Amino acid sequence: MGLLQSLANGLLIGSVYALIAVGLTLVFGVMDIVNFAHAEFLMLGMFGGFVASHHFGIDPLVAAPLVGAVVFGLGALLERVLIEPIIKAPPLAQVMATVGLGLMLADGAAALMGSDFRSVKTSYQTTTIDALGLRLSATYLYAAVYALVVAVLLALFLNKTEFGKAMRATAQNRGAAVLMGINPKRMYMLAFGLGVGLAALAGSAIVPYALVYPFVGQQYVLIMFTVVVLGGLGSVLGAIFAGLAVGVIQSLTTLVLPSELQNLVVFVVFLVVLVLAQGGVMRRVRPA
Amino acid sequence: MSVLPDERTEPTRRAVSSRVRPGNAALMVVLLAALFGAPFYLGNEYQVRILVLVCIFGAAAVGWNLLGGYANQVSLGHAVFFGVGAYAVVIFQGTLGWSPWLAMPVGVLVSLVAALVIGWPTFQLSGHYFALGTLALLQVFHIVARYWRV
Repeated sequence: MGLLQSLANGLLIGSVYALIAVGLTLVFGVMDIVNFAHAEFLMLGMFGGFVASHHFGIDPLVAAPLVGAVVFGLGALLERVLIEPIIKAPPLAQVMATVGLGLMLADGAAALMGSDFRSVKTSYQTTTIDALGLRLSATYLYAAVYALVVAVLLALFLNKTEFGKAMRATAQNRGAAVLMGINPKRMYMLAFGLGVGLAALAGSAIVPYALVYPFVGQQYVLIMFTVVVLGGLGSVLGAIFAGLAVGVIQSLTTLVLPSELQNLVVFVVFLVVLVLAQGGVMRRVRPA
Repeated sequence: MSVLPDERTEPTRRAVSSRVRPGNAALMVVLLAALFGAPFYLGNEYQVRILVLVCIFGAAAVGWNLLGGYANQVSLGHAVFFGVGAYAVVIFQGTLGWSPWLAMPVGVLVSLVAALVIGWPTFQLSGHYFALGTLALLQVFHIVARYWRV
């Protein structure tokens, strides 16, 4: 496989990583909570897409916004019940709560759906699109375009709309936001719902090419954290670029190393960036 | 986050200062006797195996509690050291043919060295970042363990 082809594949995969990670970075930026259960909401979205396609005959790409909306509601509810009480708790309690939530979601899905690997059938599954001398898989291309459009829409929402500005204001200075008439608790519910809803939407969009099973989140959890940390915790645009970068790194790694090791380089980059940047990049991006 | 959390957020600290009461000590002795005697009164090997696993996972959890509970460092990668120890024993005993009694302490030693190497960079992180860093180490170890053939 040529360098350009590999680069293109990396960008396609990376767009999806970008969409998954913007939700995570949004929750962190607004609420200062690291949601270790984020990948499990992606899993819920994948199951949502699977159920829509397998039981109702709706294409996962069409069902994605609906799946996202349902998980948005679930996320907002869980925020009120589970996250709100620990929003000012020490990291130990926050990590325990969100890791525990993730385990419950994964094992709940296993109890409900069984732990088999499942996939959906779509008409475009084996289609490839040839452009500029590159051969792109239709499922990856559709998911990538979908993800990029939604991620850019989110960036616009945060920067241009009243709601988005209120959310960013809460992130920057909760006290001042309250004085401006913003209800921070509502913003937290909205941010968490939006964050996990986007992960679910991404999940539904990747179901045409990815296998779904209750513990699929483990495949994605560290990649999404890598993207978020590389992009600067809390930065949505940063997450979009970092998502593309991680996809490309992963894809180029397979040119020189066995494919089992494709994540190794990504994770080592992550560790180095984490250790080097904790005092610098991240503290700068993070709202005080 | 302060370095030393107060008593309300850290219930384990109170347990340290309280003395062991005679009643508890007697209970401990009875439990230990029951545990060590288990192979003699339990009917089959399966039950003994379960009990052994209980002790092993209990030991691993006590180890985590030292770091997570007492030192307040939430490690999500604690299983790495469990795995390093286990793999070391398998390699020294299985591949190199050492006695298990020698392989086990060497496994502890290997895990200790791994902890020193891993601890040096990760202890520069705090709070959530420490959790993230240790989670990354877990995944790195997972990939390496699956790929590496000895």
